[in-house]
Amino acid sequence: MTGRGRFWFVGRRLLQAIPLTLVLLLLVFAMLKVVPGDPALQVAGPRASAATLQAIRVHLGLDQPVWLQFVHYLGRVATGDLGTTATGSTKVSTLIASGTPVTLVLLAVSTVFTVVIAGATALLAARRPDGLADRLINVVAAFGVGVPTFWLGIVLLAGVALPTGAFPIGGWGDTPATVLRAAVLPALALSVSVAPVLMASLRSGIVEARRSEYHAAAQAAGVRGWTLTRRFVLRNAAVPPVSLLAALTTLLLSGAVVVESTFGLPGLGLSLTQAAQNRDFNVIQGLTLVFSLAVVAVNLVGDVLVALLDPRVEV
Amino acid sequence: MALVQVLGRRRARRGSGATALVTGAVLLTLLLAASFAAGALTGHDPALTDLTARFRPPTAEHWFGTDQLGRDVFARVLVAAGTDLPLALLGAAVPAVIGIVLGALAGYARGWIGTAVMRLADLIQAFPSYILLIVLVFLLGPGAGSFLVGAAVGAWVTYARLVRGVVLRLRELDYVRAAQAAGLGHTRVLLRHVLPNALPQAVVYAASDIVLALSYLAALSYLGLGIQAPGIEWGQMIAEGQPFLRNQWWVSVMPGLAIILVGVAVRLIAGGLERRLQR
Amino acid sequence: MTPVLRITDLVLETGTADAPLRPVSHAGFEVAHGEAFGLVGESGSGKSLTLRAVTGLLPEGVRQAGGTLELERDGALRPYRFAEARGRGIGMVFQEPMTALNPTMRIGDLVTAGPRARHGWSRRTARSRAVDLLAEVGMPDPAAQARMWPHQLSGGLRQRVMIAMALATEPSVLLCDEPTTALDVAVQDQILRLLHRIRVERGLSIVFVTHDLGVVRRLCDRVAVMYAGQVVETGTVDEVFTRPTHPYSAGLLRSMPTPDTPRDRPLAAIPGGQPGAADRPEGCRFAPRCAHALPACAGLAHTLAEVPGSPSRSACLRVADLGGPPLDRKALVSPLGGGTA
Repeated sequence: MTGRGRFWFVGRRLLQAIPLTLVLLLLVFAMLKVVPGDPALQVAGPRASAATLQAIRVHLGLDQPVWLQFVHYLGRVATGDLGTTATGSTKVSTLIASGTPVTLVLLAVSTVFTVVIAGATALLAARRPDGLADRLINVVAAFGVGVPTFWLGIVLLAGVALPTGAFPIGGWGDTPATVLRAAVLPALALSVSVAPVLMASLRSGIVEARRSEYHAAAQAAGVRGWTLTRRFVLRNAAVPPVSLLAALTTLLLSGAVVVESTFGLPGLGLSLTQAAQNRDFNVIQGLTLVFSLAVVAVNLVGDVLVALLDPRVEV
Repeated sequence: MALVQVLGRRRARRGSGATALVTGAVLLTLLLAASFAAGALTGHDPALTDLTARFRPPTAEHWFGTDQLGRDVFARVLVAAGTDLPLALLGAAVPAVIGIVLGALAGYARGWIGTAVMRLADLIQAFPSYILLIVLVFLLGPGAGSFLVGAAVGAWVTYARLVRGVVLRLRELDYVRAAQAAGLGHTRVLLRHVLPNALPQAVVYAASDIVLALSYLAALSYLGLGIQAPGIEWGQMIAEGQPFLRNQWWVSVMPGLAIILVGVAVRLIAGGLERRLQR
Repeated sequence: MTPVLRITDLVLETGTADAPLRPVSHAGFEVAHGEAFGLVGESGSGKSLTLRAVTGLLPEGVRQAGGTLELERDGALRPYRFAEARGRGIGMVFQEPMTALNPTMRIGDLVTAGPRARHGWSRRTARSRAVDLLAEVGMPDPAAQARMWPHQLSGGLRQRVMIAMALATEPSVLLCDEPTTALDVAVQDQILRLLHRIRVERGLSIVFVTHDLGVVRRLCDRVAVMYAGQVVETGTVDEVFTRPTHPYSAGLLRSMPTPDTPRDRPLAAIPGGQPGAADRPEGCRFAPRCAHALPACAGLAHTLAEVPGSPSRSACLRVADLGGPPLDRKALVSPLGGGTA
């Protein structure tokens, strides 16, 4: 693929994401329509008169046709106006702005853990397919997927954070060092359930690459040592996992929602669960939108990465 | 969901799978039976609060210790199995049925219905499952019913893809064409030819989906969005014990072991089923 | 003349250590400087495995259980280590150019990957060396093709890349494992011409593993015929093709179509099939299918013996009486027809 071809590939993929984004916006908007209860009644309180309710409806634009409401909604989203929290004290956009870095750091650290754990175990397991190490790792991996993330978080708190005092018992930090320290245990808890999936894919990729004709041909041509491992094993074994990347990040994001609650990390996930507990509609709607767009973006990046790594992908 | 199943399907292992299958099934049955006789088995009433017996560590008397209200944790863990296991089974079975129906529909109905079903599947599969679950529970209100709806919405996709694949393959085969020519309706063809081909794999999926459903239920309850007190559920117990983690770790940790035990049992069943079906 | 490569008593095993199967037992051949050597046999005869064993690149589960592998160095044959022989001395061209080229590497990087790491070449040196090699194997636009990916090339061009990759290590012996089997007939011919040209220009020795007797007759000086994991006959191509000294070679040649073969007559086939590694008979492995078999054949130990009145060596017990007087040999050879000569 030439540089130009890649450029067009990225552009086309971006264009393809637009209708999907619109569908997601429509779905998130439609949440308002299926949520039980009259929004005007919630704003005005149970004792409001019919006239007050009607005034509020007009004020909220609820008297307009649905499609126009959707257009207005799009307009508000475009300007970053997602409403305020139920108490009216905070803008939802502010909440999202403060929670995003927390969740991003958590995702980044757990991605590093996931890749390191999966990479190391995959290399170990692939050394002798069906050997002792391979079978042991497979059993542990199958086990790891079944361990609830939040419970593992609690075990890490009780077993590591409390006895050693090296990590905070919960909450976030305010300097890079304290932030990283606060992220270590939740990220570890997250990785344990995701790493096995990546490991399985990497392992079979490595085994397949080592059995391949191009590996033998490279050896016959005198390629050996690290060059052989890097360019004729790892590079090839990385293609299937990279195509899994979007799905894995989604898994991590999903787990982060729960693990943020366990560790009291002030991220988007904690906001989501708290909003669900408090029935805070605007927050839920805003966060759902953010998560949806994040998923679209992650899939976009994943596709582009695959195209960069595997030249056979159609341009 | 399909991701998790990648793990279990790595290679055909030796053995018929009967031992694994029986072991897993016996474990689950025992756990379920114990949930009905929790009081008698442990000698403690799971609901009895005894403030003089708060936070007893695990001993021969209280195997898993006691909680902040002096209740026996072991008895409560057993009772909770009566909530968790049936709901997890349902949480795996409901989406399987829905997915099979929708998959058959998508396979037979060429044109926009099929496309719509599969696009919907893409959309749901791309979405983080916990977020989907939490949003649905928010819309429907907390409780077992919302959990079931959430599980169904998230998990039907795998089955739909599987069944649709089988339908698409079979409708090219001669015997289905012959069956149709012989005047059998779609329903008959579906029941006689499509289901028998798709069912074995669907059963394996459903078996491993039990773990997934259980972890969804436990996580929801842990977040206060699932089973509410006075109902007893493992995730909810873990949440209740978390404030006392510093000195009374057992209140939170023990219910988690039950979840892991179910995970192991289910994995044995799924693995055993798969090996039997491969032969 | 000293041979450049000699394989003696090669034994390859699979299966467990207590009940091993031997897909190849006591195979051997030697290749002279600048010579083209053919190793022929049906699939399952062990010819490809034998070739793989020469570079130590046996498939998983197959191991070398015996034999001596020697390469010429400083005028004498010496046992070699694989890692050393692969980098220089021995090059290999694989059967499937589709699967033998790493799909994630550009052609130019792929061709010189081995020598580049060995000699510490810069990227520029490696690229320009790659372009030279691609030109040598007749790529139409080597500079452009060096920047392409394997999947962008046709099968024939990929096989040229494969050959360039093997030549990059400056080998003295080029092993070719069915180098044209996966290709279109028209392309096959081009690749064979290319290999012939390279051999002449570089003074290389080439070993062809093939089931295509036509290829052997066109390109090779000498040939070894393999059956059920053993070499049953070896000699010059002229001699073996006109006067085979082993009934299996004779049968194989009879089954080959020639320009003179009448189209309406079916080709002669040897009755029965080649036994697999698990069910090989005692003694001569061809005896159960052989029209000339004697009871003694079942007790025959495998050796390649001199044939009276012929430069070939044969494993057949009856070389003396079948291959001795001209009349007897004629009986064995005549069905081949004049066309093969």
